[in-house]
Amino acid sequence: MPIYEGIGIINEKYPVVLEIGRYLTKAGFAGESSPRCVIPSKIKTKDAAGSRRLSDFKDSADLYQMLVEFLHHLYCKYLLVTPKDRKVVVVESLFATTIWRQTLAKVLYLHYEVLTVLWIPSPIASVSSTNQDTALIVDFGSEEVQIIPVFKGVTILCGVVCHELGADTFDKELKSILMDNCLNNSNKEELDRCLTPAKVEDIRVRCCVVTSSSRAAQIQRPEDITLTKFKPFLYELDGQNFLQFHGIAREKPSEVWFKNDDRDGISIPLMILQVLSICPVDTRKPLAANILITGGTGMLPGLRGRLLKELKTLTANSADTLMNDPVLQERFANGNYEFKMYDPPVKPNCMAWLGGTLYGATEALGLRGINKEFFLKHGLIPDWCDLQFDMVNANGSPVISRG
Amino acid sequence: MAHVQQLEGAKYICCCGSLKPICSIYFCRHCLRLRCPYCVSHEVDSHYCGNCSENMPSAEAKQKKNRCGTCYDCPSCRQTLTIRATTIQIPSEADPAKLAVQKLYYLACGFCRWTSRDAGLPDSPSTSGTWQEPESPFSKEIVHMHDYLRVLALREKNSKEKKFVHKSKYLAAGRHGLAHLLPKRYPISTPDEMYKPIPPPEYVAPTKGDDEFQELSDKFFEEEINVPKVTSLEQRLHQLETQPHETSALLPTHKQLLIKRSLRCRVCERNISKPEYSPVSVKFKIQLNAFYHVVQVRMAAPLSQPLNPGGTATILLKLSNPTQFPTSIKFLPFAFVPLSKDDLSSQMGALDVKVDPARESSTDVSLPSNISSPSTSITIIASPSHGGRSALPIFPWTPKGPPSDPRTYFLKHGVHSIGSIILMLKISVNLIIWLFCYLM
Repeated sequence: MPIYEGIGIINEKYPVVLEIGRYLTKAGFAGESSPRCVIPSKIKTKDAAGSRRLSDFKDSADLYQMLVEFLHHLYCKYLLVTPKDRKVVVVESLFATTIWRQTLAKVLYLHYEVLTVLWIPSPIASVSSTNQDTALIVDFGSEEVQIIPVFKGVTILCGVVCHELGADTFDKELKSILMDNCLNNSNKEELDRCLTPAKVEDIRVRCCVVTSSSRAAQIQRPEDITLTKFKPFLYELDGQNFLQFHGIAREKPSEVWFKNDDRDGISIPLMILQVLSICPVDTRKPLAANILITGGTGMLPGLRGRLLKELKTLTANSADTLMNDPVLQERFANGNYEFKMYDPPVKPNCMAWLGGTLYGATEALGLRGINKEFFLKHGLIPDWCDLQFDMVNANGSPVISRG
Repeated sequence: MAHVQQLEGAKYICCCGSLKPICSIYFCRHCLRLRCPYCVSHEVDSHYCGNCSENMPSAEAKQKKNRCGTCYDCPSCRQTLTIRATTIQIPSEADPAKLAVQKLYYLACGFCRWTSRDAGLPDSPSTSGTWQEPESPFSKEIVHMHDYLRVLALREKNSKEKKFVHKSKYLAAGRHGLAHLLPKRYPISTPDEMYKPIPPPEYVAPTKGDDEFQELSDKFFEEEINVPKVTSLEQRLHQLETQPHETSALLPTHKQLLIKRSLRCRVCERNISKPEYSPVSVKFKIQLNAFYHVVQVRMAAPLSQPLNPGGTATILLKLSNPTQFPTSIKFLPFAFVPLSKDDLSSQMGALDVKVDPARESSTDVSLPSNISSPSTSITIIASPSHGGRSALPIFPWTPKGPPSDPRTYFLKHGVHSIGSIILMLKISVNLIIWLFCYLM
């Protein structure tokens, strides 16, 4: 930041920006370019497991206790501010369950006595971090991949498509490939024990890539899989023990995104075309030219290039039928669509958080935030799926309609 | 695992209803209630660095993003880095022919052997060296985005405020010669201001097609990957601005500060715990822990026999009082859980234990010969304690009651007590015995 702004910064209290994801939580302050901390969304417990995920709650009382403890840890160890002092911006998923939202609201308003909280849906936040208003967001999460179209700031809700192709599915696929392709140890039980979820995730982050389409075609043919083409790699378990895996373990798992052999036969390029066909006709071309990839799982090298190439191949004007669905084939396989992707200023895992911080640093927090009085009066926060809140009054604050 | 304070032995009910051991609970002197960590609000008192134990004023901490100015963390293993010195010989400034010795400093990790040279940082001639911090390559663009959104939000805010300036205001202002100030006060009152087009943003994220985003080339796959040279997720998450792929691009980051917390009762808004300002001192300015103000109940010896329903059991309790005032303790029957003051007056079947500080060093105990109901009070004479370690033999006492009646007793005490007494009770039990402390 410019130096002359330094004096103002000391006195100004910037709001806290939180994005509590299913796997990782990003927390920081508004007005900054990256979160202060990215920590797993877990709390420490005294039992054998050692930690518990926030998403594994039994009921709302249990979630309340977990959130109180988690936020306490976050504020006291990483953010280092008094919770009561700062307003909060929460970036949340469109499909966050009501029990999660209302419990988080209770924790923030009642327990931590925060004055105002601005609730931003993550597609809007991701789009605003590109400084444009139209994007086809492909969100690679830990559980599923969500494709959400946003056109001129409006989320086209009917066009949202989700499939369980997130990090969990990837890791499962990766583990089965690793077990089959270990070169120096063929004892399956021992491998199963060594390859804990943390280790599989480590292998995914460090070694896995999304290959080119030509090599992907070779992977499908077993006779083409040789050690020279797919060079093996060593993975260290501890100081003395190594596991050596066939190089195909680096490239094959990501094919689950492009060629899925289950009954749905869904792949990410097909999902994108499905979304586009649901959207209104005039929005299709702008959306196709503004694809935005968010989510940490989508940071694998080679993803963007491969996705664009696959989309181009699918929609090329050719006689071959590449898609199962005749409607999609008719609409898109004519070579008219030009697919382009954003090159954003932050990495995909912090995109939604950055959107939250951009909103948090402006007057939007005061204009659109829900304050404590509203929550105490109504007992809930407005939700897009709650028909009680389908009206706003003259100054923009939500109003509960009678009946 | 055993604990000196017997965490599982006796639990205290806080005002919110949760059960906590005595060392985790606070006592608010003004509301006269027990408070657990949930029922107090935690506030940041002071910032300090864990490594150099140096205090940092909160304004400075805010500006430095809660990081210490002098201490660094290893990007590889998150341990604290030490500054090491080497000497080199360079031509001195005064006389180019001679070689002068100069000290150069570099950072090194004692745990994983990472040094600042691995990151390619040159050695620095001063101890508080100019080691590079990781910086986002797009920080300027993000500042532009912030400014642009601020402009948009301001417009929205102004358009929501009063659009019209009443004629009376114009007239009033004109009368006093202040009409020229009105447009500044109500900037959107003029139509051309309201409908001015929004200026386009200076920076928008570019979109690129498949000529710029390309698939991984075959050359990428020709070399074997060296897994230790690739950063792990945790290493990347600590360097969020750049999130490098190779470990050679990892830079040292400043160490994060720690805080000292002060606690405040939510009801009466008074401080319950306030530490001292100095980071090295472990004392408190205000310390209202329950351990120092409330009678502690402990099992003085483990149960000799397991509890049998319907049978009798001998329980040895140790009650110790840390304050200077005499205390009276009341044992209440199990079925009754008094959570408020008014309930106490009407309860029956309580066992009163009064500690009379007047008589000294007498082991005479008055033993009521006929105990028909548990409400008889027992007087126990205790010698003044020295740190709660005095022991004395106590009479056995058996209450009579219907065998199906679960006998569990609550302790209720006022604010007076002296010394420490050991109470041996023979109680007929039906269920496991819990002893609760309730402070009036």
